[in-house]
Amino acid sequence: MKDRDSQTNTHWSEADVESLLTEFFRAEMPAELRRPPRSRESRVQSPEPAVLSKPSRERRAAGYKGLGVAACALLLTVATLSPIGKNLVSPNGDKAVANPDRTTVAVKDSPVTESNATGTAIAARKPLPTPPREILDMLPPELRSPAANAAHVFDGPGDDLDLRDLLEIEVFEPRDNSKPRKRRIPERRRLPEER
Amino acid sequence: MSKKRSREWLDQIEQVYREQGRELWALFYAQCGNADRASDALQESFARYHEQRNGAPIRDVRAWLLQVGRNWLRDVARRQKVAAKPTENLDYLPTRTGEPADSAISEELRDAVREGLAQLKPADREVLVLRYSLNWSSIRIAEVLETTASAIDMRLSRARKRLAEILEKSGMKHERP
Repeated sequence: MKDRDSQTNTHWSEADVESLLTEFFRAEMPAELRRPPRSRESRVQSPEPAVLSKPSRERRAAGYKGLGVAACALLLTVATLSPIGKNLVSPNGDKAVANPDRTTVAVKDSPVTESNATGTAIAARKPLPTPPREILDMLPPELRSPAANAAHVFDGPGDDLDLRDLLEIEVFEPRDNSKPRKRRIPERRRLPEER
Repeated sequence: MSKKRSREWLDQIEQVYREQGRELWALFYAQCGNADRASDALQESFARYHEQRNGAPIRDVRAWLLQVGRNWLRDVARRQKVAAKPTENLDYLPTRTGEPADSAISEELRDAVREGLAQLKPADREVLVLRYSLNWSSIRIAEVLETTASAIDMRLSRARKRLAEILEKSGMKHERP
């Protein structure tokens, strides 16, 4: 007994048994069964050869729809920056007055804060994208150049816009190429000084 | 039966073997404690499954194969009047000669592990086989054995300790690297 104890001075810990069993079953299991079958998830996620196909009609239609939405969004942006938005009414009923240099609009009897001015300056530095030709055709001639658009920057959050004017724009009017195009230029409201 | 249908049947058997063979082998091993006999049980169950081509349809193929293999193991043990003890089987069953490059442990140590597994309680042997041959998690073993994962962890720890005791009693040294 003493001899055996002296021989087995190296005890088996649980971790030792773990690694031993792993090796043991690796050797015991038949070779054709050692590799576990791939799970359904891994089969699904396995890289398959990419099949390139032409875009379907649905995909093309979705692309055109996306382009249409983007064009409408751009149109609204441009319209927001156009003189239409100069019909400003502050929450307390004061009429807004355009600055002579047309870079910003100040509301009468309401002081322009420093943060407002800073925001205006930052916004004015951002280059605006050139709108598509069909949108440019809908704008007044003085606003068709990108520089003119960039000059019309609002410094307000936009809650003082009179949206009734914006809604009058015929955005979804179908184009009829057979007839000369009918342009609808929104009338510019007169400011109190001009009346 | 046309050649095409026969080919489809063989393909189906092959697919079942790929998906279920490993797990069935481990369950047979947990029952008999001998790798070769577990392989024989697996082969026997699939041979019977192959004969069932024109028989009644099998609803749960895995359960059917498991039952056939277990019955076969029980019959063999009863015929040979051996209660699935690998130490006795080693005298007349061919020892599994694994490839030397495949195994990092000696044949002597593998025999000792076989003997140790055979001396464990069936429930302890079962969790060890499921964990270390199939690499199942405690949660999955608990689902199969219808118990909790913490109970499986406790049973695993107890089984490892018992196996360590058996190895030490048999005089097997653990050579630390």
